[in-house]
Amino acid sequence: MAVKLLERLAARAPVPVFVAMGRDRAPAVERLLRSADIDVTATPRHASILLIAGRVRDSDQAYLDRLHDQLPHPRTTFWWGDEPQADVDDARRAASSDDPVISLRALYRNLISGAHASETHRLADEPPAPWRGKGDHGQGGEGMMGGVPYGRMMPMPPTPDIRDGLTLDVYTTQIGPFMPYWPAGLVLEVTFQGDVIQSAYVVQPPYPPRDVDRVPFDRLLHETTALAQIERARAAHHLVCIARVLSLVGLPTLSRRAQILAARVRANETIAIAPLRKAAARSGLTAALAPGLGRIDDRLARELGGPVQRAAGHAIDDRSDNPTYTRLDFTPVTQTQSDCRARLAQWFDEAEQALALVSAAPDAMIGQGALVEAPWALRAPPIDYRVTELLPGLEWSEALLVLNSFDSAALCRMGPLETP
Amino acid sequence: MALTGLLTIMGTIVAGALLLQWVAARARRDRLAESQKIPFLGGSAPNTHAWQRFHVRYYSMTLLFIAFEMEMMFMYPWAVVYVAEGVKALAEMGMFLAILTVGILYGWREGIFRWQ
Repeated sequence: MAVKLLERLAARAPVPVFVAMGRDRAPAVERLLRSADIDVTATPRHASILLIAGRVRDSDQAYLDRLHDQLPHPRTTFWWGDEPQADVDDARRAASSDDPVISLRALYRNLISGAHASETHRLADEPPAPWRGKGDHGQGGEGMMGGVPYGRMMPMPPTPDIRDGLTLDVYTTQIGPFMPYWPAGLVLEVTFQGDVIQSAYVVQPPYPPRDVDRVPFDRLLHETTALAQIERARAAHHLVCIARVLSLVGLPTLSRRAQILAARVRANETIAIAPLRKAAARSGLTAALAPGLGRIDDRLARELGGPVQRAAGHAIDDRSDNPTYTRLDFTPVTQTQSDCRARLAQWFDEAEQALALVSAAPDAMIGQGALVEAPWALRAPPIDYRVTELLPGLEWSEALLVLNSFDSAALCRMGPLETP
Repeated sequence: MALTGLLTIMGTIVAGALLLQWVAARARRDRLAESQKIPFLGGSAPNTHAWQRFHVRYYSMTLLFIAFEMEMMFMYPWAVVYVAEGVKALAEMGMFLAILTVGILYGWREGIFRWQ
């Protein structure tokens, strides 16, 4: 009786979900983040459901399997907008257009009550370096110097030098592709000395960016589009980027507020960004971003284009040449420092400017095929500057801030495949 | 009477050992899977063991140090009483050194003299 009651109460708690972000699903997952019914966890260890949002590459399947096995029992997988590998019942899948919250809640309830069996592990359950000596019973072996103590592999860092053990060794590991605050699909091999990144290279590039806010910009290619739609999409895109940084620096409430503002902008509501900006400043947002952190050189800023370029002080914006915008006395906003702070300020400034343009000319139309600056970096082939060149010398927390100070298009252009 | 006491102690020890084995077997049944023991790296697996950064390379030197240090600890008082005790003291020291030598031989087999 008491156990049944506890089960019912447990099933009513927010559903702990770990999201493995595939292609195309980032905006949809934002909706989940706003839902009070879903608790999006930071690691699979706190989750009961592995949510695979969108399609993943075939090469990412092994990573997914490992994530799946890291979930504690009882656990299950839910596919959202992706075709599962095997036949699964409808309770564990949702089409990309559906809202999965109700299905997730039902699945969690059944998982807690035992009606839905916990999934077994997918990877072989054996240690990567078994503790086994030369003898019949695992005894014996040679060397105590870190070679093969008792036959056990003590994997050493891939450096040829002989070290005395008086200083901390470097630690090399692969990180990604499915983590919160991490470009979906990106796998980096990172070498740390203590907490500081020594080197990094890209093992798998991030997924190509596809934004929901792209729609009005695509439409403009074929038909005359309202300026309000274009600028609202810009504001929404920037607010989502701001929300990610706010959450990363430990301001989840403000982050949720930015997410809600983005949703309201998309729903054609009138909002003000200034209160959010003031609240963020009062909560110490600028203090969390050290001045000069993530500063990029002029050449890179110019190649990336978009807000990144304007945050470096270049007043280059396609809207400057557009008659609809020139009638509204449009001048591009810029920053000077070209660091994380400047890029964040640029997002705030451009979002505020976009909403000011909407209120100044709510009925203005932009002619078909007109050049209008997109809210993200130029979508062009990869450049020869790598995202991994930005990371050495940074601590992990700083590295994440630097990565999140770029939009996904910029990261995609800086993160092509590398060979070490 | 003494025999009963001894048997009781033996019985308790055997029962305790069996109980421990049973507990260990139970713990093995619902142990963590190997993939749950590795750190969360966004789906990636670590290349090296987490301990490798902290490998204590002076371990072998420590073993040698303790072997010779203990020798000296016993030899100083032994030297004081050696003349008075005679052959008995010599035999005791011989036994002690033999035990220490086993430790050094063990270290030799493990390669502690191959210090790089």
